[in-house]
Formats: sequence, structure tokens, C-alpha cells
Amino acid sequence: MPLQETLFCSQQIHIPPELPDMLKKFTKAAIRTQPLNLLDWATSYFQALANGQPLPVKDCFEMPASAHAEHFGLTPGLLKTLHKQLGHKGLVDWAELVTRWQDLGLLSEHLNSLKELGDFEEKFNWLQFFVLGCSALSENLEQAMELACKVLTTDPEGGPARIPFSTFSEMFHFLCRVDGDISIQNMTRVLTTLETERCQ
Amino acid sequence: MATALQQADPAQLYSFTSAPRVLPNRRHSPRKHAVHHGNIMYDRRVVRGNTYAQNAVLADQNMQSKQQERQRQHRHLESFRHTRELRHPSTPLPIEGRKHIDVQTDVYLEALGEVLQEKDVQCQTDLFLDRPATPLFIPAKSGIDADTQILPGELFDFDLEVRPIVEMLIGKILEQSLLEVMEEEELASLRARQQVFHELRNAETAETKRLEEMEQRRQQEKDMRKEQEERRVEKEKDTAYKMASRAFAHNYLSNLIPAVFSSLHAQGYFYDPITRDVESTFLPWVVDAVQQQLRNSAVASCILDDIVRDVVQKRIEKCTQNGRQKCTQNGHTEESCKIDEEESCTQDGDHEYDDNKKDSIE
Repeated sequence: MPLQETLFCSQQIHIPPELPDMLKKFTKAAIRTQPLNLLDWATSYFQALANGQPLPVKDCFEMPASAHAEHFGLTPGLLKTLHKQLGHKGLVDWAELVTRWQDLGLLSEHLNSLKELGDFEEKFNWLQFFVLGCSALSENLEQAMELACKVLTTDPEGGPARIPFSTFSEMFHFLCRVDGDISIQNMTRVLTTLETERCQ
Repeated sequence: MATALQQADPAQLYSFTSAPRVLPNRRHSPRKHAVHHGNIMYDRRVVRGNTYAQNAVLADQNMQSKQQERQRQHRHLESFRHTRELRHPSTPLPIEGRKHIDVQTDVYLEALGEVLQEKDVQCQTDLFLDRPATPLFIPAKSGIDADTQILPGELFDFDLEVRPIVEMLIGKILEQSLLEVMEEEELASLRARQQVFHELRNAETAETKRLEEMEQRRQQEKDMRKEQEERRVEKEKDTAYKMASRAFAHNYLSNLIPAVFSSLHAQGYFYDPITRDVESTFLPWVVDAVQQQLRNSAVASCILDDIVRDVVQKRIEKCTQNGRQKCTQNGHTEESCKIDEEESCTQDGDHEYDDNKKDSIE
């Protein structure tokens, strides 16, 4: 019912029935995600909502890190959000990643440094970038892989974080390659032991 | 033509009983005064307007002026028509020596094949056109006069009105979303802890199960070994017993065959035919022969003995007188000494000796 030409009383004001619901969802998302720039984030949120894409929302609340803190302001929750948005594609455009990165309120210099580290081109494998992010958040290789498992798993939180073995080996390959310290023999040895354990 | 007209307009107001005919009017001649043509529409004597209305009398005062006006108009129209006709006559004027005559072409009438659609439309002026408009009826004033003035701030201002609604909405939304987020967080953390706990418990149960199984397996193993050992011991005993019995049997029976053979042999089942033969026939004969010989010799000796005895008796009789010293000086055999002794004993000894002899003979 459109707004009548003349309203005479407050009871005539009509509120669309979807409005409270939508606002509530938006508020909850904002509380959970705690974006640094609310306006930009709100734009991207509603755009994603309108396009039917996954929303730039963290799944659970975690204390926000400032943009200039160590780890580039990236948190496991943000990584998970990015993965939710971009993870279903194998190859990702760099431009899209830049937009999503900025929508979450992270700084682009950090993104560029990550890009140099991983030597990515315009289209790159999402898993590789993801695992680089994990390694940026952790102190050593083992922790990085653990974090990657925790974020990627479909198991409930706190349970055994299990992911498909192929994904794991791919990520591990890439990290070892980037790291350079770990020899190929070590890597293959680790992978084969894990595989035999898995088969048992 | 008559029928055509009748068919053309069945909704006519009037109907006619006689077919209309062409009037012998002089249409082409110049128009004269109204007297000459019979059109009642242009007849002054005919009352125009409705004749049934009551107000027709009242309108009479205006009628005259109206009639005059109408006449004036009519004349004007006529003159206009006249001039127009003069300018453009319908048929050309007769040339020299000719005269136009109106001819009745009644006979030469022909029916118009093409039926033109005709429609009669009537219109009538408003009933009360001649009447002036009635003045507005303004009833006499009754009731109380009331007036109102919109003061500022009384008109509906959307922004003002919407404010409490919006405030309430936003406040409610914020409150509820905060509550819900906290609830969800709590639930999520609870679930996470539950998962951790489950994991630990699963690991522990798995461990205990494993230990239990190991223990059970060990127990089983032990039992099996014990059983095995027992069986082995029993088997050993059996074997020893069997061995002993076998050894004993073996021992016992080892001599069996030789014993059997020897006994058989001893009993004379295995014999050498020649030997047997020799034994069975030759030897008895030899023995017999020997016996005979011996008997013979025995007899001989007996006889000899008898002889000797007789001799000796005689001697004894002699000797007893002499003494026994002569016996020892004789070169008699022992046998004869014996005889002496025996004889010296009793007569029983003689019987015995005889028995002995008999035996040896036999």
C-alpha cells in the first residue's frame, strides 16, 4: 500500500512486514562481524544479499583485531568468511578478492604483500591463497596446517577437524614449496606416512 | 419508391396511408413569399413549439419578438439562397428561341436500385430553454456558526509521527539481535565444549577398550597355553606309559618267538627227518641192543655173582673159621666186597639186591 497523499494519524503509517526481520538479520551480522568501516561493509552486505551470494559475515563472534595489528588484522573468522564467499570456485579473480578483502575492512597493502609472497597472477587457485593466509596467522608449518584444517572442516566445532586428504596434501605441497626450507623428501615422507595412517 | 421508403424507416414517428407523390412544385423558379409553398415548417400561421405545455401561454410574450426574429432570419436565408442560385443556376437558362417547360417525368420513373441508408434524427430544444434559470435557492440560515483554524503544529507531520515508531523498532531490533547473538554464541560455545568432551571421552573409551581387549587376549592366550601344556603333559604320560608297556611287551615277547621255537623244537615239532628217523628207529634198536647186551652182561654178572656167592659162602664158612683177614687179600672186585658186606648184614639186603638185579635186567 503506497503512502497516501495525506496522512492524518500515526496509525496510517505502514511498515513493510519484511523490514524488521531484515534489519534484525543485518544487525546480528554487524554485531558478529564487527567491521571497521560499517558503511562499506553494509553496502557489500546488501549487495551480496541482493545478488544471492554468500554474505560477508563471520559465523561466530570473535574479538576484532585492529587493522594494524600483527597478522594484518586477519583472523581465523575472517579467513573462514572469505573461504565461504570464494571457496566454491577453484580459480578466483584477483579483482574480486580485492573487493571482498576491502569489504571486510582489511587493508590492501597486506593483501599485496601476501600476493608477492605467493607469487599469484590474475587468476589463482583459492586454496593456495587460503593456506598462505593461515600460515600468516600461525608461527610454524604445523600450526598453519592445523588452522587450515580447523577452518575448512565440516565437523562441528571442537570435534575432530577432518578434511579430505587430497585438499590437505595440496595445501601442504604448496606451503612446502613456498617455504623452501623443507626438502621434497621430507615432504613426501610425511605425506606417505599420513596416507598409510589414513588407510588403516 | 413507396415501398422503399416504408422499409427504410420502420421507426418513424408517423405512418402514412397514401403514398406520397411528387408535388407539382416549382422548385427551379425563384422563391416567392411563404404563401406559395406548402412547407408547414415555414408557415407563419403554424404554432411552433409544444402545444401541450402549460407554460406555452406564458411564453407568448416572447413569442412575437421571437417570431419576428425568426422571420428576419428566414428572409436573410432566402435572400442568401436566392443570390446563391442566381450565381450558380442549377440548369442553364434557355437559349434563344427555346423555353424551358417543367415536364412530369412520372412515367419515366425508375426505381432507384441503390438504397441509401437514411436515418432520421430528431432533436428537440430543451424544455425549459425559454425559461430563465431559476435563482439559486438559499434556505434561510439555521443553526450555529462554527469556525476553525488550523494552528501550526496540528497538521500531520510525518517525521514527527514516525519517530516513536522508528525508535521503538530500532530499539527492539537492537535489543533482540544482541540477545540472539549472545544466545547463539553461548550455544555455540556449549556445543564446542560438548564436542571436545565427546572427543576426549571417545578417545578414553577407545583406549580402555583396547586395553581390555589386550587383557582378554592375554587371558585367552594364557588359558590356551595352559591347556596346551596339560595336554602335552598328559600326552607325555600316555606316551611314556605306552612306551613302557611296549617295552615290556617287547621284552616279554622278545623271547616269545625263540621260546616258542625252542619249546617247539624241544617238543620235537621241528625235526630233522633223518635224525628223527635215526632216533625213532635206530636208536631204540641200539638201545635195545645195548640193553640186551647189558642185560646179558648183567645176567652174566649175576650168574657170576651167584657163583661167586656160592664160592664165597663156602669160603666164608671156611673163613669164619679163619678170620676176615683173608677177604682183604683176595683180588675180588668191589662188587664181591659188597656182596660180602651185604651178606653180612641181613637177608633183607639179599632181597634188595635181587630187586636191583631185576630192575637192571628189565
